[in-house]
Amino acid sequence: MNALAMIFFAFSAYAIGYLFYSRYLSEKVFCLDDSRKTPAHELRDDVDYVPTNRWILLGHHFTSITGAGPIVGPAIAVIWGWLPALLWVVLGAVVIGAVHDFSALVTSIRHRGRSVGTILGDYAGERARVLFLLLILALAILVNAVFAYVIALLFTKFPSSVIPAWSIVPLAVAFGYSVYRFRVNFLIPTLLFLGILYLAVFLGARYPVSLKPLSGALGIDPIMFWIVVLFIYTFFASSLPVWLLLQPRDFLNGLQLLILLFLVYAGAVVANPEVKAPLINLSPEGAPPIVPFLFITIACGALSGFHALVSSGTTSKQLARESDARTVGYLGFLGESSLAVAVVIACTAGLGMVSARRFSELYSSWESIKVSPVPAVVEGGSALISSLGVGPELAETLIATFIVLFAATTMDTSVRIQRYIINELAQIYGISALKNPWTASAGAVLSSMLLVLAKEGGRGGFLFWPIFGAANQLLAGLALLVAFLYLRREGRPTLPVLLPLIFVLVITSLAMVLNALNNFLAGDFLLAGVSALILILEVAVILESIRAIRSQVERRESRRYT
Amino acid sequence: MNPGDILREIYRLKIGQGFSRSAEELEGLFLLLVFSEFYGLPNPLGLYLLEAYPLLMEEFHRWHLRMGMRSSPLEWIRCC
Repeated sequence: MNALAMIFFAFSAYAIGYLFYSRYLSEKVFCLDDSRKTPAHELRDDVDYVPTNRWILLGHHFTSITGAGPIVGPAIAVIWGWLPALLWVVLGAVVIGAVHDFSALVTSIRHRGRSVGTILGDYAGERARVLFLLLILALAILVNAVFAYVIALLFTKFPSSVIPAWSIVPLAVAFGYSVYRFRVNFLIPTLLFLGILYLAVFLGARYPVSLKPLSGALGIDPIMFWIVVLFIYTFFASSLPVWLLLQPRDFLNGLQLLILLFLVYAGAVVANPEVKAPLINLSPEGAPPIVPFLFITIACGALSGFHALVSSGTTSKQLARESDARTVGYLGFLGESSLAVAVVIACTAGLGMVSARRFSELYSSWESIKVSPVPAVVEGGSALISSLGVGPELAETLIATFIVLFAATTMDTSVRIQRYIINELAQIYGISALKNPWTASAGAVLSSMLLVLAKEGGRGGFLFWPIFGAANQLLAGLALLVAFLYLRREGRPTLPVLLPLIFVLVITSLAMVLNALNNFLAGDFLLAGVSALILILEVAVILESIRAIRSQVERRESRRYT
Repeated sequence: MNPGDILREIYRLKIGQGFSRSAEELEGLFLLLVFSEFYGLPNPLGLYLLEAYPLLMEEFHRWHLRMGMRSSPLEWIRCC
């Protein structure tokens, strides 16, 4: 098997999914109709509700949903062999993940562009909405814990990424200011700032910033040091207005994402390396069983509940025609999935280019890979890019910087989301101390930091990765439930969303029961406790779903007899 | 559309909302300052600001619509 064959398989599956399955979904299931007015036209205010060209909206949507999630999951999951990971990423995306994003988007435009959470409140009551908020809160805390560790690890292992990664902060602010201040052709500042960023990558490769001497003198672990610095930074970054830092950075990152995808795929096509990893390995040393853990280890890239927040939060307010949902919702997700496929290729075929035994060295046991999967992506990815004629050191810095930037933006966004939710919960329960944005930010940062520091060496992060996957998919389950309730009310076919819903609920419950049990038996009460917590939320979600479906049936029955 | 326009549009989608929100907040604060006398807050500059009222008609109209009032809350400003 070689990289080209993998690419061919993935993109043919995407093409079939987009051409046939998404057409079936939009014509037969959701009955998209361009004569209906979308919320962007009906409620147009030129702030939130703006009808937008579908390709531009696709660019915005794709770059908003794709972060560092699809990089970490597949990098761990290839320990079970490349075939299961590739199959789940590609087929999961076509029949589950993209369906979830698409249905969240369509359900939202049929409900005046409101978000999945509030629609859920309508269908299933206030309790379900609070449940939804709690799940997002849990998800955001886990995201911060995981990504703070990812970034700290990359800074320590690849010190050349320190300069370029931090240089994006002043660059983003300056970019935002200059495009607002000087109304020049947009292409010029964009290219200029990207140029400066790549210059910083070059400088970083020349002058790596290592904290070893400092940490040796002060007696602190460099990873811990970076984690604390990162949390202090996110505390301030998440309290700034969004347009000042977050959104210009998000824009520049979106372009990086396209560049990264292009470079990795071009490298894979040019070099076309042989895959030097096992096809399938059902019992890697120390790893949990492949079913259900493969399905929750790879969440983003195959199915991600976080996307429902973007689909129904901002994208649904900007859709110009109903039929555009097919391009934006379905195709947007396939874009994210293609990043996950690139990571699978980098970790299997790319590592094979480093040396024939590199895969078996890095993936020798579950214990070793689960705490540091990202360096494998950096090594494999830079091997692929090197085949385009880029020096190996520069390629390594480039990939490490890309991943740090994605992870940092994801972290910023999730601290911000956490702050909003803490605010909202404080409103619901009348806790005045947490209504203030600063205290809410502090609460958000502290809760995540406690979780990371709960494990020695700041390794809290990756241990929570499976739980993060489960929480993310559970959230997707809630969005699928909303779509299911809507389709049922309209009397349309419900199987395309019902089957993924059942699959998600079964897989995540099984995984969380096993996870809680294993950790409990191993004496790790923190992990067992967090798994149990997610399990409780899960049971609550299932009960609420049953209640909502029942009350809908009763309402319909009573209507029939009156 | 040339690449520059496409990039500008995508940037507008990302940034527009946050930008307009904070602009609205600033505008609201400014209007509150200008019209503070009508809400019973003493304003030493009130007299000098009389000249600014006609210029602020449009903004005032957008503000009261945004605040959920269908017509002007001040009876001497008949913007709609």
